[in-house]
Order: sequence, then structure tokens, then C-alpha cells
Amino acid sequence: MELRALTALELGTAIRRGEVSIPEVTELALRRAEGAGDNAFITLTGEQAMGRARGLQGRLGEADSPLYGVPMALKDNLCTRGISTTCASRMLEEWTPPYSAAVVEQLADAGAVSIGKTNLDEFAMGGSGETSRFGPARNPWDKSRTAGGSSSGSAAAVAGGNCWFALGSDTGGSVRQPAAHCGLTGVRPTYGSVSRYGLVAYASSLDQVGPLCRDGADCAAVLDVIQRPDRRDATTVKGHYGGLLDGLTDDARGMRLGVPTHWFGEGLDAEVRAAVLSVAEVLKDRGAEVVELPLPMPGWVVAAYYAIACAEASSNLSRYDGVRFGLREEGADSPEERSAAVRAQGFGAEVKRRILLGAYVLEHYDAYYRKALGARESIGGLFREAFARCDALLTPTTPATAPLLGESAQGRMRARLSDVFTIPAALAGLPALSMPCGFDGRGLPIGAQLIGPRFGEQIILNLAHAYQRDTVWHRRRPWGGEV
Amino acid sequence: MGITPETVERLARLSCLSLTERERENMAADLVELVDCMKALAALDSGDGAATPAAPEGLREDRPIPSMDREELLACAPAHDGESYLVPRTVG
Repeated sequence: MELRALTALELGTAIRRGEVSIPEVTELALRRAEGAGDNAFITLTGEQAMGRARGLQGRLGEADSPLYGVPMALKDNLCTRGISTTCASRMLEEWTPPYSAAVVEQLADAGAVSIGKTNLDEFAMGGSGETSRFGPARNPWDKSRTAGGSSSGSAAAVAGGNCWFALGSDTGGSVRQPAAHCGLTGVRPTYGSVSRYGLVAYASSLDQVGPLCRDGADCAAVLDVIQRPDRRDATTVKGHYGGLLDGLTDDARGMRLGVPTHWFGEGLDAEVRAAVLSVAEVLKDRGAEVVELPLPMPGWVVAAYYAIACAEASSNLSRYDGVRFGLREEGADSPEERSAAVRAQGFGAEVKRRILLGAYVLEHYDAYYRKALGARESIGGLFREAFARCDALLTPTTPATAPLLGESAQGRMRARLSDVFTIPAALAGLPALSMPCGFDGRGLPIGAQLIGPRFGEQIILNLAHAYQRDTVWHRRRPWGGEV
Repeated sequence: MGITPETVERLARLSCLSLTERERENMAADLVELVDCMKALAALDSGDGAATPAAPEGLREDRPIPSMDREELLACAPAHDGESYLVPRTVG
């Protein structure tokens, strides 16, 4: 049994059957993470992880979660009590939170074992991992390429076999895009279904925590743990959560799969187009009805996202003033100069760029911000019309496969526009999943996105599960072979 | 709405960011590109105004509950005297 090739659920089963112990798999994960050479982790918590593993092994008889004992990783913008949380920024390089994020507590209650904090774009602002203060995580499929972003380290850690699942955060695509680039299944949940308590804020009306896993079933298991209302996050929505794993079916009969033809036009790599469209054929064979619909996305979608995200970031990051926590600079003459100096030293270029753009947007409130909010409403309306004709939408996740390290910086605007497929669902607050659907001629993974209606996680997970029953892309591993 | 290094300087002051001259020039060029992308947004009809985010479904009860451990909070402070955070002088 090659442990690192298993899914999280398969490993959880092996643990419960006594085929492998929790300390054994945790040690394996830590050893691999240390030697992987992919810069996936900022902090490895070896001692804590092994101590926890031994404790969990002793209570194995009490295990009631399928993820009990499974080693996982946490994006380093999720607060972890007593463990460094840097957001890959100099500003928080020395900061240790006094509390843990809600999702961290929930996974701990389920018995998962965190082996460390993963690399990311600084404050989750970026799409390649290259704005990290600690250098980018590298794609396990080709280490000269990015693992995507901003949840670059989480994607690299799971794809590289360093752990069995990870949490990332998705504001405009930062779980789905790295999942696509690294051959993983990743989910952005419905906005409001996962608590943001303890997630360091980038854009509060867009941020959502989501899983990066080997397949849809693993994602269902993780979502069952983390989707719930939380009194500490007033944007969480009361409702019935859980049961996604139990409700998983590979029967796609009666499902209407919408294919928005306008999303497959110019600018999309030919191999990506072919691979994503082939998903429809597989699901058709499983009984789904394929419905072509136009759903043209307006040209201002990316602009609306950046207007809202940067305006909110500008506000959220004003808390880093060198007074209460984080980096502090001494010696300036006035409080304003002191804060300005701290922020100049503490933030990287992309963070500064987004703060300035946010200030510009808010300075021109009516021209940009107010219109962006209205534009967001109309995007929601377009999706509602589409979901009157289908149960879920099939689209590409990214226009092309993973770029070379350094390529995104040379074409920064082009890199931003490459978020065009992931941004609309984020703006509308909808659940969206990326799953592997093939490989290009260079052996790089291609991701297909499924978008569901609000609280439609079961729909997109079922479609992913049905697809993954008949395909093997999600079972390929960078170190060779299929499982 | 031209973006110049002076525009960037004004935005930097609003954002409490201290930039070098080179940073101001580079950021100006970057912002020109980004704002150009947003022109499509400026051309939109804003209809009857901004949609407001959905109100929270219910605020939590207003009752005192135990807060965080003082020692743990002090450990987060850039400087402290064992009881309070020490912060740079802001008045006088």
C-alpha cells in the first residue's frame, strides 16, 4: 500500500482498520514535507503533530470522523493558537495568534492532524505564490512552474504527497486555480457557509475557506466538518449542513449540465478547451443531460472584482499600523510617520499596489465602488437565469495550465485577466469546484470547474464524484503512475 | 483621471504608506494599467445604486462571556509592561 498515493478517506479507513498507525503516517508526512524541495510549507509543526498523533492513536476507539488521524495542512492565513501565522508577509513574520480559526478548531475536533502552515501569496493577494515573502511554492508536476495561488503551498503539499488534504482560502479563485494547476479537487463553498473567524481578512465579502483534496469525496468529508454557522462570524448563514459525504452519488441521471458556450471562446488554450468539454461527454454517458447556453460574462467582471476586493483590502489592512501587533518601527517623529514606515517595510509590492488601488476606488466611490456593487448584483442575476435551465455549469477553471515561475510578473495584467473563469462565482457567492480533467502535452494538469447554485455543494460534488468514477486523472501522481 | 506619481503620493498618504520615488513611479504605471481595466465599470449605468450586502441573520446575544487569557494577549504585543500594551506616543 503506497500510503502517500491514497486519498484522505482511504487513509482514514486504513487507520481505523489498524493497517497503519497515526504516528506512522504523521512521521511519513513530516519527512516528505521536509525533503520535498517544493517550498510548500512556511512552518512545520513536527513536535506538536507527533504529540497529537500519539494522543489520537490512543483514543482510536473513539474515532467518529472519517478524517480521524489524517495528516493535513493549513494555509498560513488561518490563525493557529500558539503557532506562527505569517500570511507570508514581513508584517506578521513574528506574530503568533492567541486563538485558532473556527475551521482549525473544527478539524481538530474531527481528529485531523495538522503538520504545518503552508505558503501563499502575501495576504492571499496573488495567483502564483510569487508574492510570498518566503519565495514561491513550486508545482510538484514541474518545479520550474508555479503551483498557482494564492493557496500555492496547500496545493503543492497535497499534490506532492506531503499530506492528504489541506485548507486554503478562495477570494477570486485562490483554491480552485491552484487545484487546477496541481491536479487536485478543490472547492470554494457557498459564501456564508464556512466561518471566516480566524481567517486573516483580505476581502471580507469574498473570502471563503475551502478544501484542496485528491478527489470530490475527500472534499465532501472536509466540507461536512467545516460548513456550519458560527456566532463569531455574523456573515455565516443558519441552515442544515453536513451529510455531503453520505449523500454522494455517482448517478448523474436527471442532472442538467449547463455548458456556457461563451466561456469556451478566444483566449482559451486549445488543449484546455478539449479536456474540459470532454467532461460533458463523460457525464452524458452517466446519464446527465447537457444543455448549451450562452451566459456571456460582461467585460467588466474582472474590473468589478478588483474594485471590490481592493477596496475591502485597503480597509482590512489598515489595522496593520505597527501599534497593537506585528512589525513595529521605532524612531519616527510622529504616529503617522511611524505607521507609514511600518507599512512600507512590512508589505510587499503587490499588497501595496492593491491597497493603493483600493484607496483610488474608494476615492471615486460612485464611479467605481458603487458601480462594482451593482455589477455584482447583476452577475448574480445572470447565474440565477442560467440555473433555471440547468443544475450546474461546466467551465474551464483557468485559460491555460501552470505558468513558469517569473512569467506572471512579466505579464501582470494578463495574469489578473486569467482569473476570468473563477471570479464570477466568487462575486455571486456561489459554490464552485475544480477537478482534474486531463493533462496537456507538457504533462501539466488541466482543471474543469463546476459551478452550482447557492448551497448547491451536493450537486457539484455528485457530478465530480460521477466523473471521477469513470476517469483516472485525479489518481495520477507527480512521482509517476496511477493509483 | 490621469494617474501620476503625485496621484500615487496622495493615495499613499491616505493609505498611510511611505513610498520611495521609484516606488511612486512604478506604482503610477501599474495603477494606470489597472484603472484602464476598470474603465468598463465606470461606463456602467449604476441603476438605483449600490446593492447593500445582506444583513446578518441575527446578532449574537449581548451578554458578557469569558474573554481571552491576558497573558496570551500580552504575548502578542510588540511591547508590554506585564499589564498593558506599550504603544508609541500619539498625543503630546
